[in-house]
Amino acid sequence: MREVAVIGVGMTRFGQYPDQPYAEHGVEATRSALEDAGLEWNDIQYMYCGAVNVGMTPGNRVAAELGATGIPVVNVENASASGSTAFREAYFAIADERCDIAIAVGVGKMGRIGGGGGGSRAEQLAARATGPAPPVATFAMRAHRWMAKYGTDPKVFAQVAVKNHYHGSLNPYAQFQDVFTLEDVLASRVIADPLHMLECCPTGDGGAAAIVATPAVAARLGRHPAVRVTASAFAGIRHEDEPPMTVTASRDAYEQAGVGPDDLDMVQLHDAFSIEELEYYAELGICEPEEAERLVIDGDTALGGRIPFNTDGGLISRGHPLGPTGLAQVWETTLQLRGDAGPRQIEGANTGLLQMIGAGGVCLVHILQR
Amino acid sequence: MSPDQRPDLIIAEWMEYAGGSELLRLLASRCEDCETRVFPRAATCPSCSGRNTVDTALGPDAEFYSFTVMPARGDGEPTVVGQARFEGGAVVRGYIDADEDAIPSIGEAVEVVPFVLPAAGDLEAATTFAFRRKEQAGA
Repeated sequence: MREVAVIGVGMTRFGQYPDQPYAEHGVEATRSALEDAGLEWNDIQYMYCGAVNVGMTPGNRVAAELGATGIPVVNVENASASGSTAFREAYFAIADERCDIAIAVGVGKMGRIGGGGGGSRAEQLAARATGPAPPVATFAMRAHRWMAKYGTDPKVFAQVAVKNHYHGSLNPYAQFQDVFTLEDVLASRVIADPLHMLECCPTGDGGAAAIVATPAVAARLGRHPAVRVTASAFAGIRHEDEPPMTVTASRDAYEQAGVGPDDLDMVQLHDAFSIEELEYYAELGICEPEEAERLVIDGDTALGGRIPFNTDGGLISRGHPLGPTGLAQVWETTLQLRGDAGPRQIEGANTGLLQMIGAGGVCLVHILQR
Repeated sequence: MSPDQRPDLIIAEWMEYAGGSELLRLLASRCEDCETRVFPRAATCPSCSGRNTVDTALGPDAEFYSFTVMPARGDGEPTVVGQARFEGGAVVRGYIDADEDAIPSIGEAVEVVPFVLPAAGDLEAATTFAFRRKEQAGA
């Protein structure tokens, strides 16, 4: 397999844009990534689009507005991990020598979320029989289970939100850009005990894009320090999720990249709900589960700490339109590795891990290195 | 609500009364190859992909596994949902038959009991299952 480099990234500011068609988000993000790379749309040879809640063939619609150049367009939907899946497919397009320059684009319009289920009578009956089951309820139950097992005070979950909202306040593309105190988070409305509104990702719209290419193309363009994709791992869920798919995927990714948890300078992960950060600290091998709360309390996972997590605000603050979310992680990690992350910059960052979960049981882990 | 006033089971293939009208068993499958239990019944084992599953039942006894309370929005009641773990390892999600200030502790013994869902809009009243602290059962 050939080596793969990220040569251009772009995104829109995530938020509520009820009057803006989703394709505009994709076009804006793509043009931003092209400009970042120093390329024209005509240079793109393959397109992968991760999208949620926007109807059929969204990538083709974005491509049509950029110019009908006749390139193959592949659309993927993997819930929260749609953008990460598109990125993985673009990675393989280069690694497997299908082409030399490929783009992954993500779009999502969750401001009008409401689908998701099959909606058959049998599914409606099953849902009524077992009670309301929004994602937040599942994670709230995981939070209670964690508290019972490790004795963690739920204020530690809230502190994760404080951290990520602070990171988001430094990111001009974040949906939320306010700093919230622990008191603010705990005073926000309870969505599903013990999780408060400010501990949950918002719904929103947006787009993000990443262009990948061979190292030769990256060298020819020479616009940025090289950012290499050194691992792309994918795990599906097992019954009872044991071992957890994040464990499976991250172990594979570490082996591919030839690194371990101690080599990471930063992590972007699926923090749709604050409890998840603590779970994934352990599943990524950063610490033992019973040590996870210390990382939050001691500030180890905040900017300036030992290993910052969700440096752009994460899903909780940067936002989570699903389709582009994984590509926003690529955007942030690429900027960090180039040294272009402004007030969020991690000094000397060389290695970043990106983890994304998708409903229904997918987990993708990528590692990017300078 | 007395047993004879209780509406029909919401999904008859999911549950049956256990030795009377105050307790329920959940109708599940057991994989004869790997012993995994799965609810509701399934022809294929979700753990080993085997197709050698047989009918079994879960409960009424279980261990309380987790829960959450979703506060009411508007004039409604808070929603209390949770999970129980049955012998053999199956974790099942459902309602909790308890006020929000009397929820069982995680790890506590619970039982599966009938739980009436009132009519709402186009939906008729129906009886489903819920988890209730064991010492309250039959009270």
